[in-house]
Amino acid sequence: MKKYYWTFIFLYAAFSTNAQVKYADSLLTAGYTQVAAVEYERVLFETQDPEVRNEAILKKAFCYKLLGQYNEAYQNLLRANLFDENDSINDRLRYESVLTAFMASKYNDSYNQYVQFKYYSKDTALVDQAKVIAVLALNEQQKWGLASELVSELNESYSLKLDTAELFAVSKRPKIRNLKKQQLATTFFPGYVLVREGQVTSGLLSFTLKSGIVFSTFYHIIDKLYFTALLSGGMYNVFYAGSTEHAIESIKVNNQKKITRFNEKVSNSLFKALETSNFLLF
Amino acid sequence: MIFNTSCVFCQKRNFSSDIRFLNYLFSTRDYKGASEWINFKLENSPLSRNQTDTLNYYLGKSYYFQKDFTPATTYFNKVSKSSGLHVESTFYCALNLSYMEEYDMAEQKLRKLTLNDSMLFELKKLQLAGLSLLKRDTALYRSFSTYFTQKHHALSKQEINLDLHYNNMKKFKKKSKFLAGFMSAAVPGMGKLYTKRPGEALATFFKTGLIGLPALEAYVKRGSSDARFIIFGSLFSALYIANIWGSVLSVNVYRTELNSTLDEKILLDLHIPLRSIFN
Repeated sequence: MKKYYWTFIFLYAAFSTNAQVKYADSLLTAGYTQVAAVEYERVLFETQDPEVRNEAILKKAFCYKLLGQYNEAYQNLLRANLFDENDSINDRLRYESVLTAFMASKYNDSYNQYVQFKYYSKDTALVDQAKVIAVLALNEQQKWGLASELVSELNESYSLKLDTAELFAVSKRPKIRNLKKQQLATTFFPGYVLVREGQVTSGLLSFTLKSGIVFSTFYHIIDKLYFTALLSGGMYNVFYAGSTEHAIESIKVNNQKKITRFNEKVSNSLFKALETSNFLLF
Repeated sequence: MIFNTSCVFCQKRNFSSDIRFLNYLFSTRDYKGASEWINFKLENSPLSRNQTDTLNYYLGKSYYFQKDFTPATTYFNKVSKSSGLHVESTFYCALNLSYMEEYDMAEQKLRKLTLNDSMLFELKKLQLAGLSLLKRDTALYRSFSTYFTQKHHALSKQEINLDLHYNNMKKFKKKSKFLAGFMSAAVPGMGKLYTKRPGEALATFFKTGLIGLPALEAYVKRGSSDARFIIFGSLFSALYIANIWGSVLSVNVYRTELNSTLDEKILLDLHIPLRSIFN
């Protein structure tokens, strides 16, 4: 998965000259990741120097990334003081915010962090790396129009030989089924949605059962067995709720599969193009 | 990677600054981080007996707040009698044991504790009284509750609460399984109403009725040999028996829920004074 490409990036961050950070660094190097994270927190507790604090925040984020706690890493990075524009570590903090938000599946946050990073940073190479993550974050949110714009920018900057228009062509984008419309279709055509979603047996079974129940209800009304008809009607209601839910779930799963398939196709093409270009892919 | 041990051990910080930092970690509720950090410190730093005791106390507390009661008890137990934190550790240890439902061990721990301070003495009685309520020993509770003075701000609210739990406990009426079953046999769902589950009672009543009425209808209009009567009649019988059995079981559920809710309230009333006094 492309998502895990970045997990260990920048773990080689230079060792600090600050004694407290140095101690935490040595713990991190020795493999005491959780303890190192606490020691970086101690730096934050004991130091007021914003540069040292930012360094500790960045390195604490590395610890969390190593521990696979991406949300914690992202939340921790939000504590950084990014107002001092001369602080050289700011770019890395911003980049890590884009990355960890993406890893924590906070795609909207990831894109927003990228927008800020792009606005504030002068390090175009690092911004472009964040741009790749932003493309993936936009894809996850099905904002393919915006994603294609970013890919076009990368295409121009690095001569990627990518046909962006073709890659993101509206005709090739996944056709996401509208859940409300499908719910309506299930109501009037029992089993149809399930059959169309590939669950033929379930669909046919749903159709047979519902038709049988409707038939039984009317038959018993005509036969003047009203309580039996009422029971049949009640059973229809139960089956209706169950099969609609089942159909909606199937649509959700299939929608997600289509999105994933399309996004993987886009990211594969993008990464392939980046690898063959002069883009520094980590 | 080669681990430069000398660097890891080279940190010589003031122990009181370690404790200040630990308190900060507790205030941010980073109990997991605190326990990892203390464990590392205990394993890798040369510490005096007193310092080890202090760290064991904090370690016990960090596990306690993570609701990991077994290691919490172990570390509270490791705090030596000579330590200034021995009393606090014993109280927390007893509370841990209470959470683990080891009531007798908790009581023994507390009884061994000799205290001169009047508030701590009353705290001990409060904890013992709470324990006796957890054991549902009301006579023992009365003997401890005589020490409640309600003079100490940190204890007075919980003393009132424990008295309230005691009074509620006395008021509890034991629900009869037989009566629940009998009521459900008379009117489906009534047994559930008896165990204070009105929603379930109504649902059972309608479910049973929805199957029972078509059976009755088929019998009246088509006779006993009608297939609908046989099918719905059998379904109704099964549902009717299940309704009675469900009501009998609901008495057990009712008792368990009532007991666990009460236990939770008592344990909370034992926890609060420890936090306010030893924080």
